Amino acid sequence: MTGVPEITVQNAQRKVRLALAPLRQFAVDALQRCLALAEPAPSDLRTLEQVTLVLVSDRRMSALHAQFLQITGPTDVITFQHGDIFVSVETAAANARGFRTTTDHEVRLYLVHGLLHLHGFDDTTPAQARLMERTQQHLLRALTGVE
Amino acid sequence: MTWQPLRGRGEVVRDGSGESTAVVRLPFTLALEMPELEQETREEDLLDVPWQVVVHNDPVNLMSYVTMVFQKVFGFSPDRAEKHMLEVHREGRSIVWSGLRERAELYVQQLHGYLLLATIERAR
Repeated sequence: MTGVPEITVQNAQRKVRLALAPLRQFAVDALQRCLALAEPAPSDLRTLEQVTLVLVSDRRMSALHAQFLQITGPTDVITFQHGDIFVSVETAAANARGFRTTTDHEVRLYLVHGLLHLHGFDDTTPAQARLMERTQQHLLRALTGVE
Repeated sequence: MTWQPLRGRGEVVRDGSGESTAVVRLPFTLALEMPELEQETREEDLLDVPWQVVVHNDPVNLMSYVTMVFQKVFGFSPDRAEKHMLEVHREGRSIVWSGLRERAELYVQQLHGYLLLATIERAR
């Protein structure tokens, strides 16, 4: 099935306040721009009916991390092939401090990262990672004016 | 995996006649709901596996120095920095950060600048 999946944003955390309305619009725009890219490998994005950005706390991200990767502690983003992109907003806030960006920017970065993975991009090899990062930065710049 | 919504606390309200009624008041914000991850969701369904920064033990750097570097590079609290340092010391390695590949590479570069042995690896 080809078409444009519906993308929704679910805020399942209360640790960090986020402006959801602009994030939802960003998600729609980001999805459309991703789909306009040529995919380097078969794209799940073209066949999914639904993509969900789920905003979680570090605690819930740590639970996912442990359940699926047997690793202790949180991470920034985990993407599932069926279209769920989990983002830890607490980790986004911490990374924002470390990399001198904003929490909003970090969340958008992770969303774009997850969408690109769903669209066939990968970062396993250095060459793949370079292509993915360039594409990621290009998308972010086009959507937000910031890299 | 199913997430349970939060529930409010119950309280007893007395009306004019002295009769009591149990009332459950929910918090102002709506109960949080998580999407249900199907039980069949497996490790293979993971598309985006985080990268990890791993610090390895070495015979040169002092423990106090390693702790200081962790605080400086990652912004760890003294307790957390010491925890990771002890992990490196006792187990030979510690995963100090997890996330996007380009950020992991940047952290490794910074750690190399402090002469620590650090690598990146995929979570699985």
